[in-house]
Amino acid sequence: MYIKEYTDVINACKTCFMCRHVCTVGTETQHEADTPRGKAILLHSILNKTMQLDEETIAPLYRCTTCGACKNNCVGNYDMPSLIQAARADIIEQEKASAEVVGIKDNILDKGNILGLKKDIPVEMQAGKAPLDKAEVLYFAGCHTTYLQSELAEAMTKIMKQAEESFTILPGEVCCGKPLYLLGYRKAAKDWANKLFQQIKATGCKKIVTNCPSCYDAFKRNYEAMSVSFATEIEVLHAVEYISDLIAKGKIKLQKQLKKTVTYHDDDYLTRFHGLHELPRQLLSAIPGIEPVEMRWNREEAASCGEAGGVLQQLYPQISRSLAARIIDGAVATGADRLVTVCPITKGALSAQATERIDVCDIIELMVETLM
Amino acid sequence: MKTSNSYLQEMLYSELADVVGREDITGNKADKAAYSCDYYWIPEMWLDRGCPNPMADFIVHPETTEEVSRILKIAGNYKIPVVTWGGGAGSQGGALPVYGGIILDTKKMNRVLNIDRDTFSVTAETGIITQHLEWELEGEGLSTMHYPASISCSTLGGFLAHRGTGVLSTKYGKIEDMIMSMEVVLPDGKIINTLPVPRHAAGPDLNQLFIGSEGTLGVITKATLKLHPLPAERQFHAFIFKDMHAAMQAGKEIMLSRLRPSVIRLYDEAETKKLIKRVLGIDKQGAYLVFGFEGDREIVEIEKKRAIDICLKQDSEDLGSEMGRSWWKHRYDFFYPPHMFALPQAFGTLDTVATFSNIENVYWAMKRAVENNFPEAVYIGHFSHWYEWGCMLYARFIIDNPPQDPHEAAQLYNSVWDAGVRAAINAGGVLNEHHGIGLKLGRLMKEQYGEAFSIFEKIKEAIDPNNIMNPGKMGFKGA
Repeated sequence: MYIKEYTDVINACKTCFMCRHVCTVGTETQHEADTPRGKAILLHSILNKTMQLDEETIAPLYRCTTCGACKNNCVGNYDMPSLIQAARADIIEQEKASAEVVGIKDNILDKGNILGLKKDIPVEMQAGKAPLDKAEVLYFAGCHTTYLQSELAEAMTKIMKQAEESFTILPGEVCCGKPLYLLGYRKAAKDWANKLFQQIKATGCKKIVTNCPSCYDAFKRNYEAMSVSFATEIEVLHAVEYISDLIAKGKIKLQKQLKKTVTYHDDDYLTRFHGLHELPRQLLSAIPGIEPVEMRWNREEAASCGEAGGVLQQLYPQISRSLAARIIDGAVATGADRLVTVCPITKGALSAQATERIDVCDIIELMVETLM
Repeated sequence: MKTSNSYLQEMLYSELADVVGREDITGNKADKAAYSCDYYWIPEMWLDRGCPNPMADFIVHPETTEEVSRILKIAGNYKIPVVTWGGGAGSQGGALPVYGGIILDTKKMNRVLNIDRDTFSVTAETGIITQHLEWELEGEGLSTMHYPASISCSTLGGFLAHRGTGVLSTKYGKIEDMIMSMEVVLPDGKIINTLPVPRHAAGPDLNQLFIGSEGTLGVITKATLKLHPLPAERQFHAFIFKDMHAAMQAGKEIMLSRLRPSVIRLYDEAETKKLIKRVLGIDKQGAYLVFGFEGDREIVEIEKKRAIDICLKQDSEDLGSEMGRSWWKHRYDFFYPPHMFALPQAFGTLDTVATFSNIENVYWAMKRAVENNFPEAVYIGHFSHWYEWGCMLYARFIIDNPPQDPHEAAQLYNSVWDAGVRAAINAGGVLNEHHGIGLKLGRLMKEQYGEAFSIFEKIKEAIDPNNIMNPGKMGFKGA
């Protein structure tokens, strides 16, 4: 079993309560089985065969957001998110996945995106479509930007055009494969990654830019773990890194005053897995007129939206809504006019809960406002 | 929920679901497994060795006091045990559903209801994780000053139920000193409130009846606690003494001088050598002592200077404030893996408290009782909560390789506890200082209290005639 590689985590966590207060789902459902300790107890029992992987024991393993808040809090740095992903790989290997999990996998394999929507890129995104087939920069929008938040693709391509960048997008862009990896479909994820990597290489790009942290994390960490490495050939950048670079090179200038008070929501992947918590803040602070205010929970301690790959939203929509509502409460408490995200999945989730309490936007939309 | 195994369980499930809603009751085995083990070593050892721990029939998550009341009425009707579960991080087996029945998880009752800035008090539901409460108060520049190592694991109700304490107890007191008033649901479902202030002459103090009752007399659902402004100045200072006795003399003099340190922590030579080195990186021979003062800067400076002078009189090495602050910064790290003792080791915290006249005798009596009778055991300790009259001893025993057989391991474990605790009691100590009694120490309650224990038994019988509330704990009879 894959989880055998993580017996140190199981042994440490099954008797430790110290991170329960930061557990994203555990503090929402308040069920012990949803805490890192609870899940370690289950996996220990499964390893020693006193319990089996079945519907009841599998559910908490898929409710986990793998947000990394527990690992971040841990003095011993025990890697619960990787343990959970290993457990899911065991579930898939034993063919015990729920119909909902299988459904997500089928969406990706059959339709090319997690949402199961039609394969063609929607019309809204055509306006921002790149003019070139081959270019230095590949813009990778990801499923949620393409199908649900296409305004972000428009904003991103506007910025790239303003900077006179040579860029392209993949024709009929498909999912990065992150959800396959998250759900435990390791072989399918690897096959998918290999195929997509070849498509990306064919564009001749030297940089791949995405505004989706799940895609970013997939390319940077999961592909690496699956021996599909961008590292030597193509630089992977999140939009905040890319735009910061454009500003530093003088390719774009932030001109227009935006008299707004904004609060920034840290993304799980960018902040906890890639240490990118200051760069988005620097970008915001560089916008004339912007007054940033911090939520009570910020940086590595930020509340998670459960955004990872958009999986939780589909499997446990009620939990996903509750997590988003918590963040909205925190943002409203700052008195900010806008809640700024760097993730299309998060933007979608937060917008749905914000009602009229606060405006939610992505940082690249703010960039467009100040540029144009 | 899967098919229940009896008509009664079906009925119970239906009635409980009617109270809390189907999303807030569970009987599935994944949930039950997670509630079958707390921080008590024996269930942890059983879990580790693949022995299934006793499980509840249902776990319910009430969201209001009224729901708690209705749950207790249902349980009373059927005479079903109810075990209240906060964080479940107790070390005494107090939250274990040893007779099955209902686990009443309080964590959905986690709202901060009122912060009274005129009084400096907070009223909160008791299912709130204490760190969450503190974070909310910090935003207001206030604090309960209750900072236990388990602050992130445990609920306000859990601390009240076990007479918990925090690292700054020397200045701010234990949880029983912080309480102002409480709402309690009695076993028959009645909802009562204690008086609005904790100092009065209107009969005995009901707060203190329920504090420390470990879920045997009802469910504490709301509590009002005293608050303090966050201090303008918080300072720490550390010393190394040639031995524990010299350090104890200094600590005692600080307290008898009626200085008001926020904390004094004195680690014996063994803990200094092992834990202080490992966690704080301070590699010194002798006994490490850290103290803190906080509040107005000028007062802090004066008190700190007095305390430093007292320590230097004992020929100690002044490690300065940086090595004191290091302790504060890492104060909780001691309890995370890999710093904390862990299975397969057997370990237990024999915490006790005694007067200054007796405390060192208690330390040595326990050490002899543990190490002489159980050569495989190592005994270490520190003194971490200080009073005007004495201090608390956080003694621990560790057995690196306990027997593999779970029964033999449990027998050895209980024998060490018997020997250690009886030695403490005989030397002037008490059963426990802040972890509570639970299942672990119940058998020793009568030894500690003698005839006085019958008062507790009569109170229990009067308030909980059906014996549904956490039966078999604290030395009370089982279900």
